[in-house]
Amino acid sequence: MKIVLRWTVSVVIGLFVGAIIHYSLYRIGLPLQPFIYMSF
Amino acid sequence: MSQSTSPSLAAIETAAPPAAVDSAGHRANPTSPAGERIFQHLIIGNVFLISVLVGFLVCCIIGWVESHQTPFKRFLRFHHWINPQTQFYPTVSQMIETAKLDAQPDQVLVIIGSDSILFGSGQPVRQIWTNHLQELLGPKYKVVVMAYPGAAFADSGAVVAEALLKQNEKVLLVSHLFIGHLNPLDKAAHPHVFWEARARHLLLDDPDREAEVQKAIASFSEPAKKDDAAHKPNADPEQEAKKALAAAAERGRRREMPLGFGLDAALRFNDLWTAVGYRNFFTVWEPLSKDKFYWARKDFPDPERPTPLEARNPPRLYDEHMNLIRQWSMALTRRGADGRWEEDSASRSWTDFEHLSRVAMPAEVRKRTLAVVTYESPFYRRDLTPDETQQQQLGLQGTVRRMNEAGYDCLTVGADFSIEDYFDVIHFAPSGGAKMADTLAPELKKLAKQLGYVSE
Amino acid sequence: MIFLTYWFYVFAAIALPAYWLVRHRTARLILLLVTCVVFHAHFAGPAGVIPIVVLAVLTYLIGLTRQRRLCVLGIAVSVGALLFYKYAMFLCLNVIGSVSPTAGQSALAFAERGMPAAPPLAISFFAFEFIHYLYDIRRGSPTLKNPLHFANFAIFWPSIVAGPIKRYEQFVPAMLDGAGATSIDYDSIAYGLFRVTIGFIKKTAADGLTAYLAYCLPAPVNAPDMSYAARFAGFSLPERWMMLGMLSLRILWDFSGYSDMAIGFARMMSIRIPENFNWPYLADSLADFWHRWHISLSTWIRDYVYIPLGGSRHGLMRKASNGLIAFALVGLWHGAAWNFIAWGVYHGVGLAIVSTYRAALGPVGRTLHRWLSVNRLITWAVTLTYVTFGWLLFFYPVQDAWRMFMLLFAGHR
Repeated sequence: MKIVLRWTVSVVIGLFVGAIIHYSLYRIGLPLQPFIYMSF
Repeated sequence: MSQSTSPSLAAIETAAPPAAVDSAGHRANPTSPAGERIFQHLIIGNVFLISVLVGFLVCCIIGWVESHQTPFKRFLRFHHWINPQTQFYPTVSQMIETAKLDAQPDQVLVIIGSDSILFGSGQPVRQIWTNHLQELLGPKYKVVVMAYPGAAFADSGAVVAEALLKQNEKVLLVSHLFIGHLNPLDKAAHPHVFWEARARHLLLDDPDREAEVQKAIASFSEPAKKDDAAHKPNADPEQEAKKALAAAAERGRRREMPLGFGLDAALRFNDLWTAVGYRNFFTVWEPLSKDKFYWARKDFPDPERPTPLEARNPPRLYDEHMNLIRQWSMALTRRGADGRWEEDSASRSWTDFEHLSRVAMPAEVRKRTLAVVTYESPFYRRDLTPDETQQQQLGLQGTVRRMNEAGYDCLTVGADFSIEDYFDVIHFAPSGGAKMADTLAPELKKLAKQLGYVSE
Repeated sequence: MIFLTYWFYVFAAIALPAYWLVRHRTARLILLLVTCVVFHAHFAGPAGVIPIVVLAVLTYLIGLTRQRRLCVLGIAVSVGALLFYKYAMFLCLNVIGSVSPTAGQSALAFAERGMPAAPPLAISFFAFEFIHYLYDIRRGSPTLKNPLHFANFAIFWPSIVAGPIKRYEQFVPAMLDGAGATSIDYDSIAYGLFRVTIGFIKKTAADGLTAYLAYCLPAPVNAPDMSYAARFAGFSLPERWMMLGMLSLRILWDFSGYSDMAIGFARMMSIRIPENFNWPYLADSLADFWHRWHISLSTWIRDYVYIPLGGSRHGLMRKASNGLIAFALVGLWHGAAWNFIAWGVYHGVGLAIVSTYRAALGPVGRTLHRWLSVNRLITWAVTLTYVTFGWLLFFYPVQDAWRMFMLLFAGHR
């Protein structure tokens, strides 16, 4: 039972971390501040 | 006394390394924080790592799927909440799929590119000028608005048009530019569409443009000039330091663009997380959405609202707008020997413009492009002096002539529009947009016929 | 932020697997050094590498001699480099310039002739580590004879840019232990990656708070018509307290997030570096707070400023003044501006009170101390409030910070 729990937790958190790493690549590319176009 | 918790360093440096693991198989340390101990009890290291890899790869695959479809199912235009003004960056692949959505096989795609003027700032989406353009052009054409505020002449819609052309679609492009001005690649406000498309090999081959790209990449890597950081008398050093840091961060970001978009072309993270941000939840705080920042962007409506005539040209902005109008023409003209105004053909502004007009797009795209130069509102133009009016005319004529020489079909719009046709100094109200559509529709039909897209 | 760049991702994707696959300890250390140099050269630029290389070589050679006077000279060179590169503008304009603005401008113009466009990357960290190294050697600690060990200590990429500040007596054995593993340590890699992820999440949350606060309270250079305090006054009382809370969370997640990433990357190479933050907002006294907040910095200041000044060995008054000097330097280390010094002094004053009230107040002090010892909730609340108010000084000019503090107890205008 304990090993099943450890496997489950390892897989779930691992998948989450993998997604976060992928997401972090998206965040890196965003500019620091948005370009807010001030119309005339 | 310094904290020396280990035995003699010399002994450590020369001794054999200690046992790698304890009896439980972990590299346990009695002083590990509680979090680490919990982690080691719950997590099996290699299972975790494999799951990380799997999770990452699954995201890449979903990203690839997202890049071949559009999340924008009822798309009208990239309004305020789904454009870079609010940290939302539709990817070029998503834009291409959006343009093709519901298009019939033989339809001519009329891509509306560039900035807020053709986007229809000030025109509610039900009154946007492109609706009237679509009516005038008829069912053989499909008008798609790929413009958004701040986009450059050769970015956004122009890139989409080029990518569609490469896919053998029938494409026409409508793009706006200001008098005598085109953005070089390294100065564009929203360069991401071009760089993305280049990294994904969606663009036509153009050696002249690629030479500009290489120059831009080289300029990104130039170190900060010391004069930029030099202390200015009476300036606040702390603010100067902050500005220098922000400028360095922006330079670093631009320098990373080729690599970043190269990675994105393989891993498709922008496609996935932009689609998630549109459909499910957004994750970036930005000042305009405030406490609704996490909302899915599909839940934000197009916010453009009509402005009453009396609110359109606020007096507090009058001087600023008049100065802008004057500045646009000043660098392009000079007084001749006879005292009359003439184009200053040798000026850096014109030589840069001529060069940029040729490298902004490949020739095959240029000949499909209707380049639009617009007049400012007569509310301001009527107050120009005769000299200033003449300078502006020369600037406009010079712009149109040079663009036509570079292979575009260039024309001006707005010379005879009224104050009511404008929403502010340069953007059109719905009536002005409709007049613009009236002007552009015949030109587009003529272009389509010349290109063999339509027979009449 | 250096770890959040595409170049770094590619670098880590190459450097870490290469490190894991090399099994020989010396080869691993050489590879580690090469990756550290590549990392530093990329982010600092070729010219930016020169200061750290020069100071590292000097420090290493002086360390070999073990000559006490040379150690003092080496320490002075590191201090001088830090003062020149990081504090020249502040010293010229704010210190000399406060006495004579013309002299200050002239001094700055002279200094700028030799100054690069930006201070060398990581100067605050490697200067402190070199000072620590020579100081400890001067006091009899062993020398790092192996140049490979010293070089890796000097330029270790996970911690060089933003800490934790390392101690060689802890770091080198940990590095040798990690580099000496004969099999890939999946558990360390897993935990390290998990720490890096936690750090990223914290940093991302902190960036959101930073963006929100910068929008609510823009810098006067962007909004010249209103000071920070004037804008703060425009918010309701609950909103002001909420922003103060956000400020506290923002700086904790920003700093500790970066430390998490540094610690995580080091653990991915099986190298343990000490924790730098230990739930600081759970501290139940100011002394406890400084045992939990930026631990590597506070212990460095304790060991190389406070104790050499005399520490607590010369009576209460000296203890308090040594603490004030030490914490003023803590503040100054964070930034070259008066508000940072004020923040440091603010904490110095608080610590002086906390550490001396029992003796200073006699029986009353002892009674108070006993009462506080059994009412930890109160001491926690007071500590958290004191620390939180201090962030106003950290982020805003002194005058604005004071007015904003008063506005926390005033009504909405």
